[in-house]
Amino acid sequence: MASASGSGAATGGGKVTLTTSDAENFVVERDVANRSVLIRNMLEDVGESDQPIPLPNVSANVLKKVLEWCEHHKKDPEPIAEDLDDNRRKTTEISDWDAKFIQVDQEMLFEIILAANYLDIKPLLDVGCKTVANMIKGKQPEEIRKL
Amino acid sequence: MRRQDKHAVSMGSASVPPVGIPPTPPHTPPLAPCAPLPTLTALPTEIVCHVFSYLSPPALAACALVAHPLLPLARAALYARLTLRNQRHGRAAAHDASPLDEPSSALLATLRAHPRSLARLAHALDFDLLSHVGADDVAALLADVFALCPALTSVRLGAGAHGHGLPFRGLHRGLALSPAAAATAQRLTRLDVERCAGAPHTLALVLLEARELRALRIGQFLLEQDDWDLFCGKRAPQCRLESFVATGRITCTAFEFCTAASSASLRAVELPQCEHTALDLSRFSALSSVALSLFLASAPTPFSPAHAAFEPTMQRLARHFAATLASARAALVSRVSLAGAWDCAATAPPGASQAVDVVLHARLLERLPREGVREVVVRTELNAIALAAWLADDEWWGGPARAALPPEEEEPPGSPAASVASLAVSTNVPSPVGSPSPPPPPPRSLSSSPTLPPSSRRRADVAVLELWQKQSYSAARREFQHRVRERVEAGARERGVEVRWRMYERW
Repeated sequence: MASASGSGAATGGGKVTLTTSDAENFVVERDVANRSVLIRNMLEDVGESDQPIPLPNVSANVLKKVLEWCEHHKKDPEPIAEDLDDNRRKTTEISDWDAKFIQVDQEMLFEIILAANYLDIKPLLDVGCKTVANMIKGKQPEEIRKL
Repeated sequence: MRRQDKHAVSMGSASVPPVGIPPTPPHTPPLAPCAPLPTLTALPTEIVCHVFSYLSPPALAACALVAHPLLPLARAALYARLTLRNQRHGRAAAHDASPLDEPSSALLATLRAHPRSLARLAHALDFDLLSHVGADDVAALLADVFALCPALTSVRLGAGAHGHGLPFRGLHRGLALSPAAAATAQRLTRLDVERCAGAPHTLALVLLEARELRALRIGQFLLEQDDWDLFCGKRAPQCRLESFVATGRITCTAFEFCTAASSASLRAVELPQCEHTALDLSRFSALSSVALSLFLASAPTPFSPAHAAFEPTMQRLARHFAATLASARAALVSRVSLAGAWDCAATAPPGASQAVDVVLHARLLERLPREGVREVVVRTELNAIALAAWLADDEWWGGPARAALPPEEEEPPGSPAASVASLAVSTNVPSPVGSPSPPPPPPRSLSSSPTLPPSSRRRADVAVLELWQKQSYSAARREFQHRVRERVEAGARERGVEVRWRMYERW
């Protein structure tokens, strides 16, 4: 799991330091950080380095939630090609763990979606968007307007 | 005094006496400017589009009325998929009328009225025939849609009437009827003709034209070398597929034809696997997901999975299954999915498919590659005895379970690992379809199993096991399934494997 530290970016083998917009550092395993395509690409670009990776669009409380999701899904296989999903009815089913994970207030939900989009974590983005879609279903325009 | 005057003016009337505001207590914090709560319209466009992709047409219609910025996005999502049907509820179509039903005809009429604003939004066609339409009418209809919607890149053709597949030649002729329709074939990135049928060379001719195809889903495709040589002039498709799904029987020639140019691009395959042949996946360098639908192409007689006559057939199936996976460079394949299918309805009694499946899949688990595969999905209810035996197989897993690690020589009777082992010994598991239960495997004693030291044999990489159980309305059956889940989870915990359970009604 991620550990937050107020200063420094000391990283051991297989660890990565992420710096949030509010200057908080998170030291996480490389497998966890690699769930983000953005971070994975940055790590590949910089090679072996102890330099922290800045994430100026993500705050500490949101990154904490995102890393919680990444930790749980770190062993998941890479998402495969979208097959023929576009051609079939898209399902809004969410796994039990993800459903509990995403039970947050609306502001945090939107922040997680934005962070997943920025960090390029497609499965997490899918979970967030499915949750919003489930909130919209069956509502009248006036009710949706309040979302 | 000056402050009071200003306040009086701000109230809109000079005659209104100033309101006496109680003094603010010193402990009250000043009011901070409150950030507005995020709303749907505040999300970036691409995320709103993503959300809309999960919504049904009525929900999209409601979203279109929410706010002006959402209107074009909801409209684009609403018209992105053309769903055309010809449900006439048994009534004959009027002469010279459209073969489609009223909603579909109205949709096409709307697109014809707005060819530049709405017809261009259509990206996917979802076409199902529910009442009979002649092949010529199908071809004319498809050609009309292809010409009307220049942005179509995804096509799904469903079943035809009376249980027959919509003919391949309808698609082939539809693409050939006009230059505008022909251009569609070259734009197609996704094609789903799983439920279509017809002469194999007709589908082959369509695939030759679809050069941009990335995802292909087919049903039965029995292309032979003579078809390839004679009708296709030995040409092969140029499309670089990323996903290839075949849910029916296909020949090795058909597989080679479809994936001729996909050696470097194919990432996910779903293939049928029978006992006759092993498929060669060695030429695909980017393959990361393999799903195999297992079936027997010929049924031994008498039909009983426990009968000795089944043994040679199942051994052949296991051997070819292992060979197919071994050819797929196991280190690159992270996800293996097994599904059951029965392709010998003429000789198999009703319900026989599941009876075979529960036996077959549990035995085939032992043939899975130990390295590289992280997720195993089994879309059939497994025989619990064989499943528990597999989880207790120290040799396959590359070491003893946690509970079996030294210094404990013997498991206490109540420990999870012992319960798994005892399940393999004592549980008499009824088959879900009431067929004869397979002979239980020889009891595996954790202490006597040939366990190698961890340093000499790498542990299996499987980390996630997705298992399916058949939905049952019997309380006793549900209770039994619950016990199976508990015991399997206990065994999986000892291996450090996460188990995800799913239920299925019918496939």
